[in-house]
Amino acid sequence: MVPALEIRGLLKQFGGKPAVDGLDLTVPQGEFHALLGPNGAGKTTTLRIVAGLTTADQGSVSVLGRDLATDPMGARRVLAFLSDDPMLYGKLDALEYLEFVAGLWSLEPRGARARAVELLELLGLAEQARQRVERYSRGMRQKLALAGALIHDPALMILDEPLTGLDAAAARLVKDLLVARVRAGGTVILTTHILEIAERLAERISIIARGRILAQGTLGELRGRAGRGDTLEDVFLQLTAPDAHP
Amino acid sequence: MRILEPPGWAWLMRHELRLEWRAFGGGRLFIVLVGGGLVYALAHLAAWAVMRASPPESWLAAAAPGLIVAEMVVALLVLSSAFGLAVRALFFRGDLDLMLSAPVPVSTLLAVRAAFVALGCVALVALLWSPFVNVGLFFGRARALLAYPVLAAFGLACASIAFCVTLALARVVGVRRARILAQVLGAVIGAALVIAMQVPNLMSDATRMRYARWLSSGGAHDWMGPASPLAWPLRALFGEPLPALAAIVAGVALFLAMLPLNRRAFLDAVQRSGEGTHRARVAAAGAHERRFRTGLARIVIAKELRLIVRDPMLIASTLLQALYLVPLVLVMVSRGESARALLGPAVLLLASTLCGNLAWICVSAEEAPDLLGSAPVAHWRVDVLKASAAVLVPALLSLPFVAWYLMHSVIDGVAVALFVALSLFSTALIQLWTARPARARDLAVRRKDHVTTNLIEMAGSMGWAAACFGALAHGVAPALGIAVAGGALLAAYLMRPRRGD
Repeated sequence: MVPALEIRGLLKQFGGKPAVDGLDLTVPQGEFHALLGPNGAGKTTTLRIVAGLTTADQGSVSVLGRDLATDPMGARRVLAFLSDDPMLYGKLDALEYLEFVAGLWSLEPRGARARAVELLELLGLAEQARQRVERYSRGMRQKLALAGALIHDPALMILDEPLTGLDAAAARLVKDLLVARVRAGGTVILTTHILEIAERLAERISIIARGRILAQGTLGELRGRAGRGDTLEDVFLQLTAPDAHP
Repeated sequence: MRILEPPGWAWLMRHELRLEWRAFGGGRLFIVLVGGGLVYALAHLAAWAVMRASPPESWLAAAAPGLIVAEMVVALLVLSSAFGLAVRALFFRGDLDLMLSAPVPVSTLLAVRAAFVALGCVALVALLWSPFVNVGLFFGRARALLAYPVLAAFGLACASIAFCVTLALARVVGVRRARILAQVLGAVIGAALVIAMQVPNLMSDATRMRYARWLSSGGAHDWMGPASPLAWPLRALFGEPLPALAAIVAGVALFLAMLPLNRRAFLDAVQRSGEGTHRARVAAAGAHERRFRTGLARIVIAKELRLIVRDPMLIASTLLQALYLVPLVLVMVSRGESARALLGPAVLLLASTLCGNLAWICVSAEEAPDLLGSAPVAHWRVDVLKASAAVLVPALLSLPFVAWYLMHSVIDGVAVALFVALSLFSTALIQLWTARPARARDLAVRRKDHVTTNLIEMAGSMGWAAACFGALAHGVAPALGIAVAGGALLAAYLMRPRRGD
């Protein structure tokens, strides 16, 4: 089975400084994968390259066997990207927004509408479906963006800090939804600063710093590799310390 | 002194000035100082030459009617500008929440905001008039310095009117509609004299004769002469003590009366501005009623048109541009054939400017670039569709004019339709090729921020307008206009960012 995401030798520089520096990453299908790293580690740049929003200087990215360079449309069709601060159309209501997203992915209108209503109900936004997004709270916007990411039933979801700004109940809802997608065979890759989320949800974790993957594996494997410490936080701090990898 | 300390009103004024200076581009200090200083010095030289030839007191005796009309135009423009600034100060600055949550008296905030609007709306007039005041000192006219407090008082009066009306509108029709109405009202005031000047064109010959007789009679002289009350603001500006004192007292009194009257309304408007006035409609029923559409063209154009229609700022600026069509309609109605060669190019220029704004909003100020960037659609196709949405609105507004031409002459109608269409497509293309990420709220300053692009856009529109004039004037070749427009398109094409830029 082809991996959900395969990245080889990815390089991206900004002003001569590498943001991503020869990064390799393989995520098999049906996995919940967490990408951890300190600020400026290259997580968001990597995800934006995978989503086709930033062009890599070197390297290859393949999404479910579709090479991003040669078949970008094919890759985008099976992918959903959710940024940490999703920009929505303030003057559209939730349903109009989802209609627009469904149209971008060429979804059949009747099915898309049903799916939109279902997602809005699932995410607790049904009551505000006809309310303009500009009046949504940060958490509601995040949930609507998630509904937009889910409407085309993507095989691979990449989410950059998806729980930022959500209250406890909404965060729980989103986490459950993501776990359910993985159980249904989908693949989820997320970045987070909240290590507990990675610890509890992710099957495998990649730790990234200075544009490279420093360590990868299950929580147990990472603990073993670090040699000491009981928590992911200990492992993370040990691996990403400035003097750990000169 | 307490007023200079935080959060005294002088301290708050300094804060406002700093923000405005930085928005203006405080970093460009050198250019501003050198360029602006040079122009200002030249203005003083010009003022010296004018005043040496004839002192200001003699101007009023020599050309009172013209000066009174000019005074009214300037007054209306300042008032119009005060409305725009008041709407911005009340509803579009995101910092009032912070300020109102601080232990600062509401009346202080209102006073500072209104005073700043007063300063902003008379700044240009003060800048233009100040060389005459300063040079007047060399001619022994120290009392000319009274012009400064007079201008400040006039600014305070305009700001007070703008605040009173805008806050009253917010109370009556809600904040969202008040934003639009106040801006449109400001635009109508600004254009009022232009529109009023078209009235003689609508008069019958007999009425026009009666009007001319009245103008040359003593009655008109009472109103438009140096002794008229309408000339008092001018006399105040020239430094006559009594009119100056009256103007200062009136302006300050209006301002001081406005503050307590609007304190509550100011607080309400700011709070309601944050809450939004639109009530959430019942969702579930709506959700089940709505049917989704499909097809990239339909959904992209529908989305852009929805966003345009729902943007109060954009609606206001569109209405403002549509407003300038009113004099053209009046000319069309009254003069008919004689205005034939000019009307088409004028409509073309207005449609083209509107198209430029809308295309900029649709293409450059995309709110969700990540969504479109990660969608499985060709980006160039989405951009072309967005630009098409921008072309639709001005094209529809131009249709009645094209129909009018068609009724008079099929050839002229076809020519106008063709050149308007070419101009709209050309403007949309220029926006497509020169698109840069931007925020929709920066529409008002887009021309300032991208000077080259806007010069190209303007050259393109002027070129097509000239070509249209050439075609309608029969005998003037439109080739030169077409060449200019083509050159503008070529320049925009060469300027377009390369892939990977």
